[in-house]
Amino acid sequence: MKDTQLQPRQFGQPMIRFFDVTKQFGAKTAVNQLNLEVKAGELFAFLGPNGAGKTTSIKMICGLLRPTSGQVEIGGHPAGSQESRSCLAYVPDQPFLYDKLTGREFLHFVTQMRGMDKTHAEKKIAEMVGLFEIEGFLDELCEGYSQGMKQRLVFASALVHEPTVLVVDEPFVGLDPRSARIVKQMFVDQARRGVAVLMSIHLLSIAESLADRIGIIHQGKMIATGTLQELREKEAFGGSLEDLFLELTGGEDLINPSDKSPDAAEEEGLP
Amino acid sequence: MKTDTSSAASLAYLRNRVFKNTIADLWKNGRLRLFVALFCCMVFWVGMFGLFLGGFEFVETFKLTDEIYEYLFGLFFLTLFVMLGVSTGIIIYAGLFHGREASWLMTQPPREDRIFAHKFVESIGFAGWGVLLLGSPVLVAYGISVKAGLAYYLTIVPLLIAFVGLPGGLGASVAILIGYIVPRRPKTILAVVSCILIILIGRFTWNLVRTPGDALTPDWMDNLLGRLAFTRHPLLPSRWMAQAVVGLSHNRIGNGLFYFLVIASNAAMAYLVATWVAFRLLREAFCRAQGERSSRKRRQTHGLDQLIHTVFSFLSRPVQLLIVKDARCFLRDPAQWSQFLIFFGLLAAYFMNIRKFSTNLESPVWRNLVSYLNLSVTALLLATFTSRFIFPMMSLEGRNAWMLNLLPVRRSQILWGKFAFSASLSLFASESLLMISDIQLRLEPILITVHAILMAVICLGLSAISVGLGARLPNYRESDPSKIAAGFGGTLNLVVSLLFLMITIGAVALPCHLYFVGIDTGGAGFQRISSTWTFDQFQRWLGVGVGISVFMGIVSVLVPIRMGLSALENQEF
Repeated sequence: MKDTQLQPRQFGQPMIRFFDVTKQFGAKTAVNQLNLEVKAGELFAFLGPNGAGKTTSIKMICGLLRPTSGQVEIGGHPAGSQESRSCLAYVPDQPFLYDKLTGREFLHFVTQMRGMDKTHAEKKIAEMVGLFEIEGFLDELCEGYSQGMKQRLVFASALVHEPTVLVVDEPFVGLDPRSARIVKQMFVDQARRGVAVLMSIHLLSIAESLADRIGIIHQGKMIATGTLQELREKEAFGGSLEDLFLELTGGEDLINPSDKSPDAAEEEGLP
Repeated sequence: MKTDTSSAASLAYLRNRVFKNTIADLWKNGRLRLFVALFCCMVFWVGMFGLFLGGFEFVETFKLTDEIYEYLFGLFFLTLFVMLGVSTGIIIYAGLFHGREASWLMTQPPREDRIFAHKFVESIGFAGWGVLLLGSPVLVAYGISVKAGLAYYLTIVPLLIAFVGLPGGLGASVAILIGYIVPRRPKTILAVVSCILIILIGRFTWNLVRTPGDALTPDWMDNLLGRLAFTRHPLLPSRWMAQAVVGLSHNRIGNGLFYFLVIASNAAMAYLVATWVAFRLLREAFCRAQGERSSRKRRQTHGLDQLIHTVFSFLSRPVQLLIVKDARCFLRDPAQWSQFLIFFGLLAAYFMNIRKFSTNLESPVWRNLVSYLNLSVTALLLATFTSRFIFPMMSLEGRNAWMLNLLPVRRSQILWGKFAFSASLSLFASESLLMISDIQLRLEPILITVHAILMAVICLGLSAISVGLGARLPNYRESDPSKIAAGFGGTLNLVVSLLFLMITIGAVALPCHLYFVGIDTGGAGFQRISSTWTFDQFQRWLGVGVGISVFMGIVSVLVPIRMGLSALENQEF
């Protein structure tokens, strides 16, 4: 088994890789020949309209779906293999917790399942409890938690084993502004520590402010990838990420004309 | 790999903590529920024990040979085997391919066979509990009737537990294979298996009741045993169980233990095979099952919609639309209507052929008895139907409360809408069945009328109990209706429904029975009372019985509905 703990020198090493991945559900193509790389230390924002193929792609990363063709690798291992799961942390949009466990018991369960040494596990649990400010309700049964409390505990459980790949689907659902700020900062910290972070998100302002690179998927195809600057240059677009997103995904009619680049506006005969 | 052993230990820790926390929470916040559940189990156990003890002691008076007990137990355990195999398969399939826990565990380090083992232990825990509750009173009663030794009683529990593992392992393997081979058609497979089982059971029952010869004569017994010979096939686990039970009960310890070990080793093998299947196929099967997507266009149901609007024209339009919604949900879930259709269909087939099943129907007392048995079976089936499908409706509706609250209907109207839906469906199905039965039995018009009134009372009462208690004891956390029905509220609903049936049917059935027994025999004891009844007196007592039933019906409609309305009006979502 390959070493899943990244050293600083391994920054830039591809951790999530899609090679010509296609996923079909019957006659419907959910993901169409997707090629993608997310490197260690990179925070990648995965954008796309509803039904574009984001969640399908994420499920293939986690080994919950198999590609119809192509291959997905995590840390050099086929997605779904035990090695890939050992280095992966996944936070779905609807977090799963055991109703009849307390938060603390859930964290203990996760560290035990991950084979962590007891002392190290206790230290990491304490660290996560402090980071996500969950001490106040940690000894209550999870069935009484609000959506935000659940989300914070799920983040703590995802990071407690120091993953090298973090995949999150709509991470800010149900979080209050303070928690959202903590999570945003956590994403940046994780990436700076060498973790490959892939987040699927609809809040374009957060993608704009946090992501190192952005990928826009539409109707199963990756239609644009790069830094925000690269995307703007490539599309000759001077507006916000939101306008760029609408431009690329067929919502041009919703864009304020003044946001378009002068060249594009001139081509369309706009003043 | 270190995570393999640690994941097994962690999953054991998980089950242990969940169990302890559930019990502690129940003790702290739901002591009444705990005691009611324990009391119900105790009543059930004692009832089963009493029934079977009486039965075995009666059978013992014929000085039956061990061979006949082996036939009886062979049949009993074969039935249990099939039920356990199918139910464990369904539980495992749902848990592995449609459960959120499995979906989460699949992203974690435990190997697929560990995940399977975790879910298997859970499902076997449920099944084992059920088998212990059902099987232990039967086996204890048998042990007492044949004066079995201590070794027999000590072996009962391990024997039943070992037995559960065998159909459980087989059912689990089949469940994973179904997920692997036909991930898009699990319900079709279930429907086909159900149909095959029902046809086989129907055919078997038909053969049994058509056994030639007069009942309980030696010739009849020979013929009957000949028709049960398949239960003694040496490769059937039910035969091993029968051998173990009979051997141990008669102090043939060596023979009994041998079959116990045969069962235990085969159960271990079945578990091993299931684990291997899970190791090899579970992830692929899981991915295929996740890939399942229902893109089938649903047929428009204008005809049905129109029918509902016409039948319920006395209700407001929004309530009619809610009933249309319930009817569509009902029809689009084959798990609901298929069970309803199968059991009511079987009853209809039986009622239509009732005269072929028995030669004693010329006797008024038998005819009366059979008519009330048919009515009771229909009512019991209806009670399970309302507990399983109608009771969870308000809980499920609570999940969409935000939408319902915005509709131009009062909450009470929603409740009455559910009641109307349930009562109309029940009335149509049950009254039709009852008419078939009564006409086939050639009952007098007055009795047919009384039965029709009684069934109407039962349909309205059961519907109101399920709708009212469903609103009074909702479970908004659970999205699975079967789990809502199996919870405290659902169990209480079933118990109340059964009590209601006992009183309403008993009040009418008793005067009928006393009168007809008197006509038939004019015998001694309490029968003498009935033999002195004139038809007028019978009519008077029947009137009293019907009055009690109707009164109970009114109480059973008003009280639960009022409770439900009050709870619903005060409910904060």
